[in-house]
Amino acid sequence: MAHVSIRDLEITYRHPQKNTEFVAISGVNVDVERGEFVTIVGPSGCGKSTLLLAIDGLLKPSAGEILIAGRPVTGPGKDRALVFQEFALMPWRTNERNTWFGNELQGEKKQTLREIASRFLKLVGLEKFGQHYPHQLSGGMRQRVGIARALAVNPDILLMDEPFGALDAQTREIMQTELLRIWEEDRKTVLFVTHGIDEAIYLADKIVVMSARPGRVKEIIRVDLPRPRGMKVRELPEYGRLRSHIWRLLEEEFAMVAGG
Amino acid sequence: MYTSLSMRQRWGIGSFIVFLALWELNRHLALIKPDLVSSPGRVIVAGWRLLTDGEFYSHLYVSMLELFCGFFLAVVSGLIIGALIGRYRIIGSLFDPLQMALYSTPTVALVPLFVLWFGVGVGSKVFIVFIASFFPVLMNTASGIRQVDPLLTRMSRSFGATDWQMFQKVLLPGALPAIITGIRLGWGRGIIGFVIGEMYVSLKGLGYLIRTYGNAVQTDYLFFLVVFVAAIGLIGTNLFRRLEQTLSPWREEEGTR
Repeated sequence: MAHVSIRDLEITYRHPQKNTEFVAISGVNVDVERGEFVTIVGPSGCGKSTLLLAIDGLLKPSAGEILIAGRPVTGPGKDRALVFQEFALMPWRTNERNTWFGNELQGEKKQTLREIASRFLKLVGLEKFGQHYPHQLSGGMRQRVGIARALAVNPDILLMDEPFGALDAQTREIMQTELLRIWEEDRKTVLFVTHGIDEAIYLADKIVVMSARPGRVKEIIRVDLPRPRGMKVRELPEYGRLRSHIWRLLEEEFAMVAGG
Repeated sequence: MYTSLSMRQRWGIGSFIVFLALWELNRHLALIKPDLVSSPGRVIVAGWRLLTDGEFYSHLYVSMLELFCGFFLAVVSGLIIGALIGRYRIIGSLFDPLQMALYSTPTVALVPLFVLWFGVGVGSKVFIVFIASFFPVLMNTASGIRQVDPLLTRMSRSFGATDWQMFQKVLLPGALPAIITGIRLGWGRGIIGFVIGEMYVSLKGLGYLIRTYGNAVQTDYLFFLVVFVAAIGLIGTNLFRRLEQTLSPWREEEGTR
């Protein structure tokens, strides 16, 4: 049984005052196996984030269903954790207290919280910054806190919504490698939304390419590049082939979005 | 940054000293009728007389009683109702028209009404202070809660926060700077409240003294009392500003980034 199973998913946004609605995604079918790192890539506004929010249980489908380990999603849950593009850290809390936030909500004792925060801040390389505040950290470091927070609740599924989108190009590349290093420890199921084709290929076992809005699945592509993924992987011919292929797929979609 | 601040401070202090000097000189130059404006020397003497006279403190006590009681009630009720309005849109729309009407009415105009209701003594002044302080606290609390970054509420929902947890751990701390601003503004309004109330009708209090000395054209005492009341306002306002800075250190830094 697939870990995450998305069947004929459709999500419609309704505008409360104007009483109009628009279809964000339609007819999406995707299966994700346990321990798979899946990236979702597509043009702007294609509903990638919407898909992720629905899997996290923050949005209700208007049609279709999302099954996790065979059971339908009814709301947020302990088995999933989300990492946000804009970090979503509480500025009035130290990094340590931000990290243990999910566990705190679940009612863990103070001593346990400290241990958990310490362990996961160490995992993301920020053990010295526990008592600092988010505003004292760079963007990349803040996102590491966000990742630590998500991992701290020990989810079965890690959902990442363009987590490196707000970072500069160099930090982004460093974070990609970091993320894979952290992921290799545990091999959780990951769904990772991104704009970047390179990022999508570098990280993934499987890539879901989406069309422009209303978002549909254009193609699901297996990535057969060896793990662990180092810098050299970008030089492999397979990488280039994948890149051209995905580029062509998205080119059609960009043209549509631009009104071509 | 540092030098320009102390430059500004130096200019400020400098001009204040010049102002005091001119004011004192006026006694001899009589550019403005000295009876009307007194002078720093005379004001200080008058102040000394008041502060060493026991009776002054019974007036001070009455005014402070009115201020603190009314202010405390306003803060507590303003916070609770403000939180409800901020959290639940429905309650907000219920209160809106009433709120608008009361807020736009100048408190001064309502003072005679309050005196009719609560008498000429302390009671009516407490009520005036309450009404004056209540609205800034209420409105700042409500808007403070509403403007908490929706990303943070979404994040807390994602991690499974209940409504109460979200309120306690995200909305309240997020709104804290705005809430303290509201309290700070309420303090200033409250002071205006008891002064005006006491000036209208009262048996004791700082406003009573202001009215009495005003009527007797005792400008030196009058100036001292005005400065004294202003100082109360300033001390409170500064305390609340400091409180806001201690509780939200990240805001300043974000501003400079």
